[in-house]
Amino acid sequence: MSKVLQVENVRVRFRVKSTMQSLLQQVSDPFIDAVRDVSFSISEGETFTLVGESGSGKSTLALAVAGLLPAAAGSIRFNGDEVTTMNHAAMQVYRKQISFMWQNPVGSLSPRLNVGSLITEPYKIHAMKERNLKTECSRLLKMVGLPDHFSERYPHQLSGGQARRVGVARALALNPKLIIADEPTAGLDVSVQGEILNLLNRLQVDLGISIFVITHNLNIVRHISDRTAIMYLGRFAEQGPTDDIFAQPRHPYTLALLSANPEPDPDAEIGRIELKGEVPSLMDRPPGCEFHTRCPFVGESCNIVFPPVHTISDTHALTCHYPR
Amino acid sequence: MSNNVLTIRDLSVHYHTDRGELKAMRHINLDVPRGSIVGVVGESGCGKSTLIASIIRLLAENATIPNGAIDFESRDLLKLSEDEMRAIRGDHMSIVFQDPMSTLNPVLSIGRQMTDIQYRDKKSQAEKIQRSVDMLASVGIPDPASRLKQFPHEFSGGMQQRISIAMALQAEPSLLIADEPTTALDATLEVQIIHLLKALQKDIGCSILFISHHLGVIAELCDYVVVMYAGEVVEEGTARDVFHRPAHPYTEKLLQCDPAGIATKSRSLPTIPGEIPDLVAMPPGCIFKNRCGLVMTQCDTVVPQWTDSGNGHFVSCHRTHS
Amino acid sequence: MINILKRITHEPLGLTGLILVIVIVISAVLANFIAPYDPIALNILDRLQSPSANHLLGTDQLGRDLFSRVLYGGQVALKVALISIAAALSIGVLLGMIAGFGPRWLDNIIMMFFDTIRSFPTVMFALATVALVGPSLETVIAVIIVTSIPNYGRVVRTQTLSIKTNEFIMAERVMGVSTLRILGVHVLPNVIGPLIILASMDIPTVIALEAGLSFLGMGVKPPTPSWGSILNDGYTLIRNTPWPIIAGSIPLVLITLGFTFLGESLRDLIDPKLRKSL
Repeated sequence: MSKVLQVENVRVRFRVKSTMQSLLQQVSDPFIDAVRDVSFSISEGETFTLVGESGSGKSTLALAVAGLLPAAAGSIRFNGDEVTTMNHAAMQVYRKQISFMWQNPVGSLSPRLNVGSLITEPYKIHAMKERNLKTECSRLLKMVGLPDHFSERYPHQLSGGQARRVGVARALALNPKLIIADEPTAGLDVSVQGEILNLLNRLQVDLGISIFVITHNLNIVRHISDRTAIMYLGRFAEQGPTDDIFAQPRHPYTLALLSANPEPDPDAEIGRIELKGEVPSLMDRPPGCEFHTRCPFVGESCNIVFPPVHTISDTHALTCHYPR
Repeated sequence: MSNNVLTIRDLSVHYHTDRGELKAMRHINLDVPRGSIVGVVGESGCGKSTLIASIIRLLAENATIPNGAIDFESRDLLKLSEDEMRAIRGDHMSIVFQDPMSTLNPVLSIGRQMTDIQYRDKKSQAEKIQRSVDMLASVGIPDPASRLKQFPHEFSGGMQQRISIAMALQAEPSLLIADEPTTALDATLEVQIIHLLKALQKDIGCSILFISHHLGVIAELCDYVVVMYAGEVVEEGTARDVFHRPAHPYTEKLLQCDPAGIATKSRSLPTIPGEIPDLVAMPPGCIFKNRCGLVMTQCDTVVPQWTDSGNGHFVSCHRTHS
Repeated sequence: MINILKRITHEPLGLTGLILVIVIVISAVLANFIAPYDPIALNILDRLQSPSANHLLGTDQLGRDLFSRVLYGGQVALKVALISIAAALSIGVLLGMIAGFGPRWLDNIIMMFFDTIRSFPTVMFALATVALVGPSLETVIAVIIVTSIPNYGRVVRTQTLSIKTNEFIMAERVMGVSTLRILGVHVLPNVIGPLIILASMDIPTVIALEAGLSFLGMGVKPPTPSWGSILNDGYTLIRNTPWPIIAGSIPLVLITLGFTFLGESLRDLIDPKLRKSL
């Protein structure tokens, strides 16, 4: 299976102090690294999920992959083409091959356009005038299971689930090879979460699309994802096949995340690992292993030396001094 | 009933809209026993916000209450004057909301806010400050004395929520209403907040009414569970009864849909197809009939009765009679 | 649109405003047909008459019929108001969107430009300009345009800034939408709302400004009738007859009331809708 997306040692920085402030406050580095050093790949027809809490950098990474944020270092290759150095024309071509599904289903739809205009906008942008917009609109609505008359509705008239489907329909307009889905179940009731996840699964099977999911909802990861990465402070703590990670998590952070999940069973036995403290500020990264300030299994060299990469198999790796 | 700190009987709330009367809440019954944690489970449109607004008597202008009573510490809240209600809010009854930034005033320091809400107490300023420090310590804010002069934005989301809880519990209310307090937080923070609430509840002895759509949290935290659907309470019982022996088809289906409860990996997750009915032009009979799948003939025409299916496990469904 | 009209007419305030505005606009537009006399025709014999069947508002010091002058004066007022507000809106909206959406340095330049204009009191600015280039209708319009641009521009800029970070704008950018299309299709319709109210509340202000300038002799040149110049004439005649002053004031008061009522009820309509959707 060929690799659709190949990300290597990517770093994304934000400037937090102006040049003036840096001089006055004698700050040596006015940047923070939202994404420090990330490498992964996504194959054709595969779902790769990125799990992380707020501040882990997962949304930043997604935006960088989509070309909306510049990468300060590293490479992002889509079907062999380097995204970080694309000129405008190449970027337009790239944009036709990837789609983004946003966290806020209604908020990501332009409020003054109706569903029909929203779904067919990609055709207008890329000047594909030969397409019959009405037929395309019907086709896309059918693919996501919405009736034809929905094309007349406006975003504020849609429920969360319906708005999500419209987002998917729009994402499918140009037959993308990769869909980036940012928190696809956020704000959805439990009774309708399955709808959107089943839809994405079906599309993957039918169309062979690769899906890059970003979420902090561990409960859904197991059901939709082939491979998973756990992100903390801009780095991958662990990544590998989803089944392996859930069956036997090895990184302490992964262990803590998985055990933090409350189960819908009042009698459930909870062998919970509680993390102490708060997530460190990105401006003040802990030395050595950046997780050591909260790690329940912290050991000798954890606060001095940056941990090496342990490879369990050629698809499963983690960064830890003392993997479980 | 006298064991309850809050007893709601037959409460209905209607909103007057352009299209007609929206029957947002219909004939609901709810009990919060003294010293217990009661969870309210419901999805969008179930009436949770209306429920909270009715209890604290801050309903919108176009709302009417055609029938019902809210008994709080032997007084019917619906019959009290605004002044009497104000004496209760913040003192005997307090709320923690989903978004701490909308509870906390961004331009006042934490210390200022925490001493301000002690305005009813005839204590000296130093005593009030000490009380605030003690409360912050009890919710796990490290080094609280030095942090009193800091502003809300200087704290992380998890800490802000702890501060909101500290403020809500400072007056030692008999009832704490928590409206989705952990929904906006990550899993690890959510767990910390749940443990905090459990510990504080034991300490202070208050009752908690915990509203959430997160089934796992409800199961872990609550003694009793109330399930709401489209403006009705469809089931009420102990957490064990509701989670292990759900009596209402909606509860059953909801539990089946929760991906956390699905042990084996599935690429085809269950859902409850359909939508809640129009609450203005309401169909006759049971409100869940269009999504139930176990419909009998009465379900079409007769609204089910609120019945005790045994041991305080109440349900509103025709199937329990048969 | 029709919906909005219907709702305005339900309120007594809105209805009154709408009626006043319609009456005055129509009378101005049809002045050529309804005015009984030529507004600049002299008739010294009939000067300074009180209102009568022949002259509904009397005559001024040159015997000109005040009623006809008021009607034609309406044309000047409306012309000034419509042209200057339309022009200021277009330029203000454009600059505001560019300032809000574009790079920081461009925003700073445009805001500096706005702030400079706003630092001058409007009337002083007008007087200075007129002193330089001489009084005329065109000058008045130009001055009003320049001084109104920052007001609209500022509002649009703030709206654009707050929309810029909305998810749907990010969604459009990730699809490869050009900035021009984003501004035209996605930003503009969402920022224009408050401007409509602002503009309708500005109409009476602009008309009063023109009247004020004409009153000072800095606006429209005689013998063209303008409500302000009628007031100016009446001012010197106040001991002889109050009618020119009354004639000049009535339309100003009516149109100010009319547009203010209309604007207020428009705002009341749009605001609660916004609140509801929150």
